[in-house]
Amino acid sequence: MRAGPLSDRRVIDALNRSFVCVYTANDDYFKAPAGERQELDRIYREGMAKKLPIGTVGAYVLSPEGHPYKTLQFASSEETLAFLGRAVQQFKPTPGKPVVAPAPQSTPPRAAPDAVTLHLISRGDDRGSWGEFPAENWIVLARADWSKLLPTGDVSLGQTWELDRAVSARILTYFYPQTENNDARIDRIQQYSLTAKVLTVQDGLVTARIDGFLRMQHVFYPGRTDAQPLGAEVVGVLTFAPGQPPSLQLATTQAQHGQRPFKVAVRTVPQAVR
Amino acid sequence: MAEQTRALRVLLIPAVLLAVGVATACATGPVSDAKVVPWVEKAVAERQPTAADKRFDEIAWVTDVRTAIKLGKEHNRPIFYYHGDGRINTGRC
Repeated sequence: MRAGPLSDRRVIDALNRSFVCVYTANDDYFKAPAGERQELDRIYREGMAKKLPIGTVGAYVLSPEGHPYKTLQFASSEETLAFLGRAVQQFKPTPGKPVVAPAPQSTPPRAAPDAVTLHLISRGDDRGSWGEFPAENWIVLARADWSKLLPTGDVSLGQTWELDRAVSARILTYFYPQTENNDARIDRIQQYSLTAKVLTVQDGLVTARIDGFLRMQHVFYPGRTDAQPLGAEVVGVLTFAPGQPPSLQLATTQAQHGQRPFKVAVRTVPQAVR
Repeated sequence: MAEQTRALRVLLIPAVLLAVGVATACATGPVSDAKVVPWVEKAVAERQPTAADKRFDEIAWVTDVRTAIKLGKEHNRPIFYYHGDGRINTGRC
């Protein structure tokens, strides 16, 4: 729905004008507080009792008191607008401003002040459906992790080293395009490496280039066993001063999952301090 | 004649594949030391989500049902409740 009605200006305006909007991830059900789970269960039970079509993916309109009215699945923008219009007729809300301020929905997780947070963007070269908007991951490296990316001792021009393999794997495991399967277990990786080479040392600030590659198997749909080969070539820049959190940027020069080319970018972002 | 054609194919196909491979490598191949910093900065910047990619963020979302119901009662508004596998906010869905 995000690639369709939930990116349509008319639908967005209708939602903000007359509805309270909420989204949840099924994956988070067991992590949710008990009170929240009880409400999710109640809505599901009441929806079933009303014989509403309910799948694992879709939308409800609930009454202002939280009781299921109708459901919507795999709808176009026009169908969604009509659906919302029927709900407005039913509940007759007073149109107005959104009840909360719209805000970015993908934000860096809170982390220790001396952690390094990486933001990864991945996108197939195709557009529409799965390719319509990029996928994002947030990777937090604690001091103990990012310290392993840096060389020990004095740094000299032209010096080379392989970045810590465990930390590299934690980053590279998210180098896959938008797929329904998001199992990012590191054991999917078959071969990989990220190596650094010092380009400049100026006023204590070291700039190193990164070169690397990744070979792994990744399944498009969860629960399937038909993994497709994935390969990526990577370059990047690592900037650091001794003892200080580094800045890392990575970009694929070429990447392909099965027959699908894709691109990845990684950058260090400011900390959301906890 | 058939044998000659087969022999030609045996020679020609690897040559064509090699040429395509070399051309591809030249087009996307290693970035020189002198260009790597601006190349990476440009690539990373160009790959960031656009405003159009982020229209989902223009919706006034809350992320738990109990808060939505509380707000629904307070403002007498129906609740639009999306649920799904994966994470619609990050595109890992």
